[in-house]
Amino acid sequence: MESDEVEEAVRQRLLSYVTPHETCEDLFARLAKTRVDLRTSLPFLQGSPDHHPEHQEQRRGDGRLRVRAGQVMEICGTNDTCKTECLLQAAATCVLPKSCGGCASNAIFMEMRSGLDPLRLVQILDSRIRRCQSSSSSGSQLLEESLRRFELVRCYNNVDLVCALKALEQREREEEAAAPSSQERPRRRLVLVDDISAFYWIDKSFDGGPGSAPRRRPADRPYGLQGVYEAIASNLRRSAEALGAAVLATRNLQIPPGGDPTKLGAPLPKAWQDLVSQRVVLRRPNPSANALVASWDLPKKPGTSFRFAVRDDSLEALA
Amino acid sequence: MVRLARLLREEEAGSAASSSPRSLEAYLLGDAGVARRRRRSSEEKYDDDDENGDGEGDGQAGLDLDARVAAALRREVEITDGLALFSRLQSSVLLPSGIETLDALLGGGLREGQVTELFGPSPSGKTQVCHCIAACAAWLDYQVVYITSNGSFSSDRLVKLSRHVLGHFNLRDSTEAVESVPKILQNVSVTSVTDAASLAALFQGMVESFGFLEKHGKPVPKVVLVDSPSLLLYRDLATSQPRGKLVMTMLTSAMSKLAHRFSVAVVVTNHEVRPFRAKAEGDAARAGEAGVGDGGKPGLGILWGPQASVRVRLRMFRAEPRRAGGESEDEGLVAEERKRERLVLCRATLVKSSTSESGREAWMRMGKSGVDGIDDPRTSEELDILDISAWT
Repeated sequence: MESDEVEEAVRQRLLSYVTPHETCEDLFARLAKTRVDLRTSLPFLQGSPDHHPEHQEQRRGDGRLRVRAGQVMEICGTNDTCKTECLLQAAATCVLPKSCGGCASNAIFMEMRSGLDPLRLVQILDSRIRRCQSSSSSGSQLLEESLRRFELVRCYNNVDLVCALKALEQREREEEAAAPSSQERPRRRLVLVDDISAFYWIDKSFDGGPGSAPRRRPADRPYGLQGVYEAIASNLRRSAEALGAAVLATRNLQIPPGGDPTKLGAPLPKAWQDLVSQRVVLRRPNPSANALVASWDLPKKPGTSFRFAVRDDSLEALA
Repeated sequence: MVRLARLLREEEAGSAASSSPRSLEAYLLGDAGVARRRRRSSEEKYDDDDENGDGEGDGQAGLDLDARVAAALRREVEITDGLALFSRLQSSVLLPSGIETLDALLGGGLREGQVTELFGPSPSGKTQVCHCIAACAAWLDYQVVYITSNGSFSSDRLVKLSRHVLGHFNLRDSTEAVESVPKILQNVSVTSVTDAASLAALFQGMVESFGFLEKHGKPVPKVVLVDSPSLLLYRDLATSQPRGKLVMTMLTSAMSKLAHRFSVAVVVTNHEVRPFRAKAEGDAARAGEAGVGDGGKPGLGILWGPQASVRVRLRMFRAEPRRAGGESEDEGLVAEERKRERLVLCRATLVKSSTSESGREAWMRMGKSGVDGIDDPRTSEELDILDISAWT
């Protein structure tokens, strides 16, 4: 009956937030542990520009990402708008030691599109270390230490991504079981996914084929776009919550260059869209100049946009 | 498609539950349903502690399956360290292309593990540059695979270029040159494809066969050149858009997988498209005016765009020695002489690169015997540069 189903759906959603027989105090304690407050050096993550103008000076350049573990921030843009560059800058800030302005925690990069150039990552780390150090001997040590905190997983299709997320969750569980409160366990605070829409067209081609009618048991459902993105979304949320990490994902809006970027192209399935809590759209107004414009889509902040340029070691905010 | 049974066999699965799905994909996709069942069963545990109904048994078996699959996946999935990436980078090879200025533009040469795209209108020297790269790599004793879609491979040209490349490496000694020519030809394998789906299948087949070669210790090809997949892809895109996009995505993912897994330098050529202009540009044929802002973009659209890590634009020019002043005598003879001294130049512009800023240029001279890098000819006083590309 319909009301039963509605009740069931509401119950399931409640259960995803609250475990049975938990007091409010327990709930808050549990939620407090899942807060992630990371320094990325993305210039569009400043505090809101209209409140507290006197604090703005010290907050600029910080680019703090304040989310709950498991929440996804999506960076969208068409081709050649430096989305991977943003991810690399955030990863560099995450792995650098605190003396160089970083967070000294591990970052996991899930690469679907082979856009990661290790040389570029090393370039960024090297120039940042040079900027805050003068001697070169400790510099190479710092570089090695930072590189050790960077982890890369290559995925060749969407199912590989799901497998990789499960493996990450399992590794975290195993490490926790082995040494529950050890301080030396690497803390993975950032999960970066390069191009969640890389295999969209391949998986979309499975829709509409024979036998794509919805089946009753999810296990019987044939492979399709909705199913695979549901699996990605649920596994990403679980792994990120288990790791206590925030997620930064890029998405390639496949719209022609003359099109309007606010229309955001073909939408990904609802399961993914429900997971995204923040969204930024990057644009490059002049194709040959080194100036990019970032505007917020979720939450919408019409009228404010951030201009920045790509430099050797960081993203520099332009006026 | 990995079979779940194979994964679980490593975990010594005693008896798989009768409702277990048959493939890993089905298991992963059905995961949401399993999680829901498990939550319900854990909740039921709180309500009535003594009831051990069938629901709990099923939930328990589901939990076991989850745990075993997770443990098996943990061992299968490879997580690379940043330090391992760095050491792989340090040991990677920069493949010279045989043309010094182009090498300088690319930051030392072609990077293995990356896809490099050369695009430009026809003619712009793309095939010549591909032959040059093949000759150079073959001389350095690397295996080369040349895939052509328009019959553009010419072994004569390859031999001529390899002699030129040998001169480039200061080996004008004739005996060594003669002996190495068959070696060079042996290192290059040529295939031709006639449609995009078979090209994608060829790349997927190469992934498997390179794995075989690696396992048996035989040399894996270092350079794979694809001369114009754009013709083939356009045919598919024109007949059916979704199918064309699917084939294109399969091809790009196969190429990047090959490049990354086996440290292969993949070189692809592409044509150029321009926005339709209502008025012809008239006499703007001088190179100075036709600089960067002439609006040519690589073909094959936005889906193809992301796959290349480095993109170079080629454009052909013709250079003639400048007329010295009013010469009224014997126009016919002078014209003949000037025709003989005409040079064909090619300008390469770096359009996309992950490590350096785009916009830099390199010039090359395409001659009968070989391709040379030269300095910017616009600075020289003696030459007139004329744009001979298809659109002026």
